[in-house]
Amino acid sequence: MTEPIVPDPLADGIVSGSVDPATLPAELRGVAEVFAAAHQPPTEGELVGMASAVGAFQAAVTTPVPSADPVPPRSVVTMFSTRIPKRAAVIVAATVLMAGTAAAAAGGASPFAGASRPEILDLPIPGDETSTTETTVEGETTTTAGDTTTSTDDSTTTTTESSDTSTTEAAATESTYPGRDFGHCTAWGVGAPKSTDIPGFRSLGESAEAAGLTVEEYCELVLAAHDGDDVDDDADDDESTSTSTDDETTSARTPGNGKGGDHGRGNGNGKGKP
Amino acid sequence: MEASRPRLDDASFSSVLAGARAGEQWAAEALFVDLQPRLLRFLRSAEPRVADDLAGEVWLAMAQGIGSFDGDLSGFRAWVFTIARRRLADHRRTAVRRATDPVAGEWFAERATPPGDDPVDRVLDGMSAQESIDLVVSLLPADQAEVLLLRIVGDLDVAHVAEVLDRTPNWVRVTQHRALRRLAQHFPPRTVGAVMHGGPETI
Repeated sequence: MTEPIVPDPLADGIVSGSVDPATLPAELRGVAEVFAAAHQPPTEGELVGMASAVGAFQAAVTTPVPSADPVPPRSVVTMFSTRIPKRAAVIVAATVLMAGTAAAAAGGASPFAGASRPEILDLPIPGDETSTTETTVEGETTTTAGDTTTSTDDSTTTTTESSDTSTTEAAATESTYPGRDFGHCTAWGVGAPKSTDIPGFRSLGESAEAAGLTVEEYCELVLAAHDGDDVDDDADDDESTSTSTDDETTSARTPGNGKGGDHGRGNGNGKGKP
Repeated sequence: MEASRPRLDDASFSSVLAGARAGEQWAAEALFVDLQPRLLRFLRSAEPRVADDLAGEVWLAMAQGIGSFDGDLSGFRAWVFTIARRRLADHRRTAVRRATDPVAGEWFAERATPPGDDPVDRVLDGMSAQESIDLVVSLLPADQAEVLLLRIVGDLDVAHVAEVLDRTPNWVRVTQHRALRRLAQHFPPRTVGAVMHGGPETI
């Protein structure tokens, strides 16, 4: 049997079903008929479940959830789309972590235990009243940071609460100044770049602004208040430490949706063209 | 019912995309009507048992990533089929690790093609879209079948197929040409109207 020579335009026409099989060479008509059948319009059976699928799509679009698809979440793209914010985030993170460690050594548990990652990613910080609603969506991280705050400030709260409950109580039982602000203020005072545009200091600036003070004035109050709390914190040290350890372990056991392997492949990312 | 559904084409795509990003129901329905049948035909040709589940995963991934998409309708379809291929690959990687049930020889005997039942006769019976796609897949090597599927089902041009498969456009064209020649060997030369109006007349 002779093999047909199929020029590219003709091949494209056959494949797309735009060529009338009657106009084709005899040896290609059967193929064209099959392709034409493959181009049949959708059947009702293929559209079954549209209502539920559309509903799920709408919910997923309007609710930020951890992504398992090839395209990274928009917040991450925005944050890491330029080099300068990335460097700034790394600098702030390193400074804040060091300050947090110093604070832990000085007065108890690190105020950033389990909370440094959301700050780096510019995500809402659990325990911040201005972002409580948003943090309830980020279930895993909220549980970690929220429980840490709760156990530090309110020893009667159990560690088996759901994330929503712990977040709410963490906000409700927040002391005069949020514990994380102590670490921020420590970092602010040790020579880190002093700009509220930096994600780590953004909430600090907001807190100071809410109090009608400059960041320096606000930090003086926070540091002074923390020094006064040291005695009370000592009594809670054991519980705080054990709770934080449990929370971190829990966070490590629940790595999102388990499909992170698709991230960062590049193919299919960005503008949607792999 | 068909007429009431919003159509998706190059002209309406930008507004549909914006509506879908905002969670508008009409836009999501427009995407569903256009893409779901394509996805199902593509996935069912490869993994018929789990095609619907995989399609659901693709929709979830689309919802999560649609805010970052930038492009036209063809680019959008290429992106969607890229996701579908990855979900398919993920499923197959998982399936390899699962235990499989041994199949008795009788199972194959029952499904063997009876004598005289060639593809042309099956065309005469009036194939559904899925049957014709399955026929193409059954007659071609995997790479050739995938190229044709993306072109037919995905309605992608050569350049977008190359993007989805991470190949060059020239490779796609060559593979498509080989696929057509191979398929032509399975379909004997025929006269006009043989498919629709009677038995095949070989010339």
